[in-house]
Amino acid sequence: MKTKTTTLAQTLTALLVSTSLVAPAAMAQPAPKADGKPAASSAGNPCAPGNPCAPGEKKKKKKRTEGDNPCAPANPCAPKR
Amino acid sequence: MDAAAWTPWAEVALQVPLAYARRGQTLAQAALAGAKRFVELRHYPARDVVDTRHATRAYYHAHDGATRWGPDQPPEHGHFHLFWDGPQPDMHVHLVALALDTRGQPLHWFTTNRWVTAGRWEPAAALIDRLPTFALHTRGRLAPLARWLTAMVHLFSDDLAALLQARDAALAPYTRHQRLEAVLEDRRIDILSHCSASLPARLQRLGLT
Repeated sequence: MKTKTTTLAQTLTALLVSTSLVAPAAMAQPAPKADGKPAASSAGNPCAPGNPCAPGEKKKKKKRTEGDNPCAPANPCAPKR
Repeated sequence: MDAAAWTPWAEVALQVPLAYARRGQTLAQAALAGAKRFVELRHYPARDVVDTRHATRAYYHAHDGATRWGPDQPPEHGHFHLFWDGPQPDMHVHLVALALDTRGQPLHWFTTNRWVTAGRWEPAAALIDRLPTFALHTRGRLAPLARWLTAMVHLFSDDLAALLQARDAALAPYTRHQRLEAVLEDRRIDILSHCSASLPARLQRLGLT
């Protein structure tokens, strides 16, 4: 048990020393908005997304139906049905 | 629980960040999963780390890191959110969040109000019952990080139990005047409880160092 305790203490010391030698990570950049201005980032800000910390949703595969035209230009402004 | 029971978790909690540090990387950088840009509120990895076997999920992101913990605390680089997934996409349950500093050192554990993460709300007692079963496994470059998060949850399990109880206690004054549902969606209330996630302090308290 004593050996194990010593090992953990040594590992902790090694971790603290090694970590202090690594350059700190850069802070996050504000998320760009569509118009190029930075988006509000605070959860308390009324412009922040509704659920800023909700888990990401799975990417849905787009289903093609017979009526779709796969080569038509995308229409990003069409209302969703 | 005697010290020996904590030792395997303590070893993983130390060795994973040590391995990263020896390669010149911090946990905070590893958490970005190779992304070139670190953008506020974006999830890292983009589709989260999802463990379908254990129905768990985690991701790393950042917002308000410079100011969240006050002027006398080191700035937060970002934080992990840990979840239990539910049977349907919106049925997840938030367990806890873990903030890191810019060198990837764990700073704080914290809990949040429901609106922050959406999903289902479970009382502290139910979450505490499930804590011993928490496991997050994945393959690839984030596998060590998932092992580290699992180890951290277990190493701090009694602190987390107290933290979750403090979360529910923090809601109590509000629910005297409003329905719980309204309180859980109150955007003025975000962080409900927090505690230290310092590894050296935790290991010392457990008598492991």
